Amino acid sequence: MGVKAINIPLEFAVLDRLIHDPTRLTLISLLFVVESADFVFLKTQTNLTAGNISSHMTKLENAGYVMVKKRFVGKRPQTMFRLTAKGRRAFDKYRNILSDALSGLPE
Amino acid sequence: MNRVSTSGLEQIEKQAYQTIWEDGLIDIFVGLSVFLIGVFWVSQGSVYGSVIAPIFVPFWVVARKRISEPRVGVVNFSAERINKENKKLLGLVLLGVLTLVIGVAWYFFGSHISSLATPQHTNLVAGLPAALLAIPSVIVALTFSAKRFFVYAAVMLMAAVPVIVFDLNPGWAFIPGGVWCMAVGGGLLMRFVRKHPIGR
Repeated sequence: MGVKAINIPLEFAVLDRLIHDPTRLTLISLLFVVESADFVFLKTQTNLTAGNISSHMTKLENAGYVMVKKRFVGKRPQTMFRLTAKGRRAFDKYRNILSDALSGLPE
Repeated sequence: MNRVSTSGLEQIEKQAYQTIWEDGLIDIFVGLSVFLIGVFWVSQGSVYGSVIAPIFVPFWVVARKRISEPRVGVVNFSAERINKENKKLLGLVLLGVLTLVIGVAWYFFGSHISSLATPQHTNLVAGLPAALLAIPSVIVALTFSAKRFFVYAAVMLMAAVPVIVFDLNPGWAFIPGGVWCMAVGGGLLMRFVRKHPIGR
């Protein structure tokens, strides 16, 4: 008696891997629901380390998903992050693909 | 329209929004305003203390910039959220003004047109300003999902009882409400500062 193969939905294959990473998914979800947020806010909301946020944000910025603005508020440096239109579209697409793929699975 | 349920994302947004009210600063300034309104009313017999609340707004903004933002950061919410909150805030301000006007009018009606009022009526009138102030507290509690404002409303209502029973100056009902609000705010601020040290 052979083992029955599981049909993995094809949709999973086209998931955006840049968003699919759990850390980036956390950061991008947070930025999706707000207009913009600074580094400190992302850090307190996610409990991620500064280095972790920094490296993942660089990847998202390089992909054009996130826009970064650096400035000084008094003597304090402030780094603001904003999801670009491209980033919003990519996240919407990711959500829909994942939702369709998961809803298609048997109970 | 998105096909996906947005409840998870809504929860994230709500949690982010609630974070900015966790510092207790709003409680301290609201409490201080209510307390000073009470003190003015009791000591001067006037309701001019009510102009204090708007004066505190810039202090609250500065305190947020100095205390909260270095600790929990800066966030700008969506235009949709801002519009929604502005409408609620406008409603609250109008309700607050209406509350004050009704309270003051009833108080003066009770105290100056005593021929029209029974003693029971004037006693009840004395407790009305505090009781009416409880209504915006409940609305704030519902609007910002800040359950502690239900407690403030309850304290204001309870503080109105001795004022009615003993026919005291209405200002006496504001004082314990304001002190309670400030004390809770102070506790929240201490917890907030401990939980979010600068440069963590």
